[in-house]
Order: sequence, then C-alpha cells, then structure tokens
Amino acid sequence: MSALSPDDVRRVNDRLLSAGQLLRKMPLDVRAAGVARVAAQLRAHGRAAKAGQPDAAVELVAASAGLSVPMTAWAIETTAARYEERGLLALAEPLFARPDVLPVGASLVAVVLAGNVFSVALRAIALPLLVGSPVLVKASSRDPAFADVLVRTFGAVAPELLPAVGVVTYGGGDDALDAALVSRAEVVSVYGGRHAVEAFRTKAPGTARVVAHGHGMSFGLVTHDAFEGELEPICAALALDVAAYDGRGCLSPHAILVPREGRVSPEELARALARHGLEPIGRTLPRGPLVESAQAQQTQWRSVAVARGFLHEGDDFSISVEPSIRLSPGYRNIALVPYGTIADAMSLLASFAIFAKAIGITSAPGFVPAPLVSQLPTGCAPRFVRAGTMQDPPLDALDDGLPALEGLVRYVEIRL
Amino acid sequence: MTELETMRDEVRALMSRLHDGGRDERAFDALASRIGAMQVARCDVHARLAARATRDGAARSEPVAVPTDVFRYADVSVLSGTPPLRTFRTSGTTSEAQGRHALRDLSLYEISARHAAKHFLFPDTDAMDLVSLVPDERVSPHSSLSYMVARFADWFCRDLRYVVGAGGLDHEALAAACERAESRACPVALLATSFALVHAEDALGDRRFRLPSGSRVMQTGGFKGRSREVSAEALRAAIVARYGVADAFVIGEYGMTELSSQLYETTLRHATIGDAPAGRAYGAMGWVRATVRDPETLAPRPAGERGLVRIDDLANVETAVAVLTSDLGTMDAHGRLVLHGRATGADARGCSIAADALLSRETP
Repeated sequence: MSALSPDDVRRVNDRLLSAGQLLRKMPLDVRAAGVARVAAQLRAHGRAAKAGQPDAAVELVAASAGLSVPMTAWAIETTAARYEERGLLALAEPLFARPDVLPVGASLVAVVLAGNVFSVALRAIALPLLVGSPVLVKASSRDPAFADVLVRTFGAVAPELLPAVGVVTYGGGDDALDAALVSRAEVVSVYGGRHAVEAFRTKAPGTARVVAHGHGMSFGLVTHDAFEGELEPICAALALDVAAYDGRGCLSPHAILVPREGRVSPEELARALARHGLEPIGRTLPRGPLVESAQAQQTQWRSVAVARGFLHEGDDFSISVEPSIRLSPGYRNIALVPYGTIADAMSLLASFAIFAKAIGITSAPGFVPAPLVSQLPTGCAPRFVRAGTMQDPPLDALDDGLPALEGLVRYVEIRL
Repeated sequence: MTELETMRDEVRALMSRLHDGGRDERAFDALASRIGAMQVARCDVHARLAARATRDGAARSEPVAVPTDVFRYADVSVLSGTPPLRTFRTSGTTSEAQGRHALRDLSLYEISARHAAKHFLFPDTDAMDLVSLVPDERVSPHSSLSYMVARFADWFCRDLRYVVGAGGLDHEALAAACERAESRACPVALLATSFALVHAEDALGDRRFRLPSGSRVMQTGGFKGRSREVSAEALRAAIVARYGVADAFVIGEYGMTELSSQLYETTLRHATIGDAPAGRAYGAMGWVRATVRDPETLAPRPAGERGLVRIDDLANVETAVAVLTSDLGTMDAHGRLVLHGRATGADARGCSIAADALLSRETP
C-alpha cells in the first residue's frame, strides 16, 4: 500500500498552483539563471564521479537507474551541459517572436516520467519552469533517485524556483493517485508506453492538454560513402549511440542499417565496431547489471542471431548481422542490417518508421537526408542526427516533431 | 529403418512404459542426448547453437535448448526438405513473425497429448461432455491447441460443443452449454484459454452456474498482447464462482506451439486419485522434463530458485528436443514447475519499445 494518499497529492497541487503566481511574475532571465545553476551543479556531480571521486548523488542515481556509475556520470554531465542560461533564453526567444501575442505558461504542468532514461527528468522540470509553469512530476517508482536529486539541487542552488517544483513517487496503476496527480493540471506530459499515455488521457481533466511522449524507437544508418574516412571514429560514434543508457532509451538504436556492398563488409564492420567501439567503451562506460527479464530477452535475441547468421559477442555487448530488422532487447545488443540502396534501407525501415524518434546518420560530410524524409510515413517525424549524438539531443531538439515549448504555453493575443 | 524412425519408436516405447506417470531419468537422459546429437547433425540451426554453446571447449551433458524466438525466424527441423504434415503457428497476437513448428509426423504429439490429458485432466473418467472455448481446428488450422482439443473429442468425449467461432466467443452458447449440463446433471469439461475465460467473465454479467460434480475447467495461456490482464489467482477464483466447480478442478495446462507435449497442474489428480502431491504446480509425463535455468548462464537452478523455464520434450524428435522459453518459474520440492509469468523486458524499457510490445511491426 502506498504511503502517499490522493489528498497528499492534492496538497502538493495546491502548493504548486500558489507558487505559480510568483513564478510567472519572475522575469524570464531569473528563471533561466536558476535552471542553469541547477544544471551546473549537476555537471559538477557528473564531473566528480567521472574523475573517480565518490559522489553520493551519482551513485544513488546509478543504483536507482540500473546503470554503472561512469555511465550515469556521463549521462548527467552531457545532459546538464545543454542547460546553460544563454541556451535557455534562446530557446524561449521564439515565444516572443510576434509582437501581438504574449506567451503564458500553463498554470500547472503534471509530468509522468518513465523509468528507462532517468535524465529526462531535468528537461521535464526545467522547460515548464522556464516558461513560468510550476511542475508536478510523478517519478517512476523503479527509478526515483534523479528526481529527488533534482529537488535537492533546486533547494541548494535555486531556492527561488523550488516552491514551483513538486515530485511524487508511487507505483503505476494507482487510479486514485493518478487522478489526483492530474486533477489541476493544464498540461499533462506523459513519458512511457502506449498504455500509460492512454491511461492518462482518460484521467486528465477535459480542459488539459496531454502531451504524449509515447513509445518510440531509433535506428542508425551508415551510408555507402561513410567508409571514405577512418573506421575508428565511425565505430566510436556508433558505439556511443549503442552504449548510452545501455540501449534502453527511445533514442537508442535498435538496429544499424549498413551497406551490403562496400569497402567494409557488414561482418567486418561488426568486428571493427567491437574492437574500436564497444570494447573500449565497455571499459570507460561499463554496462550496468542485467535485470532478470533483460537476461532472458538477451538470451532469446542472441540465439536468433546465431540461428540467422552472424553474432559477435563481447563481455557486455553483442553485434549481429541479420537480413531484416528485429527489435533489440537493448543492453548493448545491436543488429547490423545490410541494405543495397537507400530505397532498400527505407523499405527495411518502413514497418517501424511510424515509431522512429531518431535516425543516427554515419556518412561523408554533406549527406542530405531529403530523399529519406520524403519517404517517411505520415505522422512520423524522427530527428536525423550525426551518429554519436543520438542520445545527446540539444536543448532546442524537437519533441516528437514539435518545438520543445510548444505544448507548454498558450498565447494571449493583443490587438488594440 | 532410418535413424529418425528408430528414435521415434524408442520414444513411443518410453511413452508406453511411462504412461501411468512413472519416470526413468537415465533412460530419458540417454534418449535426449541421442536425439540432441541427431538434431545437431541434421539441422543447421541446432548445429549453430551447439557450436556457440561449446565455443569455450566445454563439453555439454545435455542437448542445447532452442529458444522459442528462434522458431519465429528459422526452420527448426531435421526434415526441412520435406513438406510438413502440419505446421503449428504461434497466435500472432504480439508478433507478425509467427513461431512455426512444422511436423512431418503427428503420432508422438498425439500419444503424448493423450497420455498427459488422461493422467492429469481425465484421471477419473474415460469420457465426458466437452465444451470448448478454443476454436475448432477447421477455424484455426495452425493452432496446436485447437488440434489438441479436436483430438480430445476423439479420445475423451461423449459430446463436444464449440462455443467460439471465427467471430470470437459466443457467450450465449457457452451459457446454454452450462445450463444444459446443469439440467442433465452431466459433468462437463470446459476447455479454454485464459483470455477466453476473462472474455466470458466480462460477457456473462451476473449469470452463475452450478456445473454438476466432476465438472472441470482446463485453462491455458497467458495474456500476451491483450489489453486486459488478470492474475491467475483472481481468474481461478472467478471461474470457481462463475461455474460452481471445485478449485482443484480448475486445471492449468502449460503447452506451447514449439512443443509436442503439455504439462498440467496436478490438483485434479491429487483430488481424485491422490497420488500427486498437494499444492498447485505443473507436472510432466516421464518423456518431458521441466527445469529452471539461470537467465544468463543457462545453468540449472535448484528447487525454489527462480529462473527461465526450459522444457526437454522427447516427443520433439524432429524439431527441438529442448526448448528454452521466456517464461519464469521455479521448481518445487516434488519436481513440479511453478510458473511466474513471462520475462518481457518491458520493465526496463519505459518509453522505448520493449520487444514484446511491438513485435507486430517487425519484418519477418
């Protein structure tokens, strides 16, 4: 039984709504500066852990997220690095582009976090605060630590923003708590699977906007001209995409499409990716422990790869070469899927493209993905990014094809 | 006589010898080992998996298990050149790339199914009326469950009524079949998937039945790909309340497309014959062995420890004598299997698509 009651959640709502009045009166640059200080503090934690100094916050987050400490430190540092004051102000700038409209942040944003990529919590809290909206976050009961660290960090370095931040943690599927969570929200932002999104759509007040960050998947694409350059940096970049968050994020590639014919065969690329990519990264950013279900899925996945063709297994990764795309269980198990032409690659992707969040491109400079974009199915708007950056999106990265602040504000039109 | 036919005969002989529920582990091990070696020699999939399992030079004392997912992507058969007599396919509710179990000979499947059902499901009777919530095999020709239920009609049945068709469950027909059993005081066996029973719960509203003493409900399968999940305990309680059967007479069947044999909960055997241990767990006939494995190393785990379920099924002579499932279980002190559901991987994936959630989008 949860110690948290619906009344507790409603009280947090009341407190946040009240704090929202002050927050909206706060100048944008003050809010941006507060968020930036929090990010800088988080970076300091990440840097300390990366340098081998014990850092309780990072260790707590690592244990909670099921990642290694170095991987967690990397994730905290790279994520927090995006939240500098100048960048935050630049992100908000388009909101003021029209002289006849005034952006007004939602009165209250409720956010439901998923448990797979802990660092999303920073974006989920920072962006509403930036536009002047208090935010109530439901952290995953399986991975609550980073949200707690964030609250503590706000308290330490941005106390003026702390009253506008609330975090609650409880197990999924508690209808009464869910209802209380969204009861006063103007915007409900849901990260998670289809069932979670649908459930909160029905629970949200009729007046609320539901911003769904639903199921997604990502892929890599190596073009024919990619191998004109050195192989080692290509492998290092691909490996970072595969290894980041242990392949558990919706921006993690499930498979990498590679040229069937070329200077480097798919099997040679697999071996090179192991040698120059996943083996070294396993030493600097080791994989976290495998949970039981992941072990089971990994066993099935690797066996299919063996049955279908080629599998290269390392200590904490595997790379297969397979004729068609098959979803990966994550945890640094990745398939290379050979293709002939770019059109072939798109047809391999076709069944999955509607869910595509990011396509990591490895190519010679100047590659234009326009032909790919034109073939995307309706409703699909993945990000095309350089390999090695798939899981390090910039602050102004689109969320499911929409500007990041789009769902958080309304505009008041003034034509006097 | 070919090597394959010789092995089939040996399995038939073992089934005949152990049809009353006995076990002979030495004979099992010897036959499993020979079948496994034959499968490695004749099937490329087995050869690849065996080569990987022994790449560190370690000798293996048991056949390498073929994970169930492999059946979705590869032809697991020592007779892949010959047309199958029957190809069973996984339901496809969560996967477009369906698992395929192609059989060129159904005799071992039938002997195994008949002996196991007699032992665990009908130990106290030679025949009774059957009500099937499982589609007719003419409606679902690729369902191994439909095939099994159709054979039950041949072996154990006085009267068989299907209350499900291509359009789904006909709950009025189900209610009529139950009322008929009540009025005739003639016990029936309801044969159903768990999902069909949940559907019946939703459809039947307040209607309750008191099926005659000796009636039973065989339930099988989980809820993969379905929108509504109910715990096994809650569903069993609902069945007892709905149909008025004793708790011990609600029997779980554990089978899968990739196997030729089935396991059953032993509660009915315990309640009627008394030679099975008490408690709810799955028992197997002597040509089937369930074990629980470490999910990463696949080493056997002792009784009471949780792990992945592996089924060694000697009736799978022409396909895979050992199958590794994605189900989690523990072995109890009596060598029976307690199931804990599937290891889906979904718990660690959040907004990322867990394989099980979206396999329907995969290219086969």
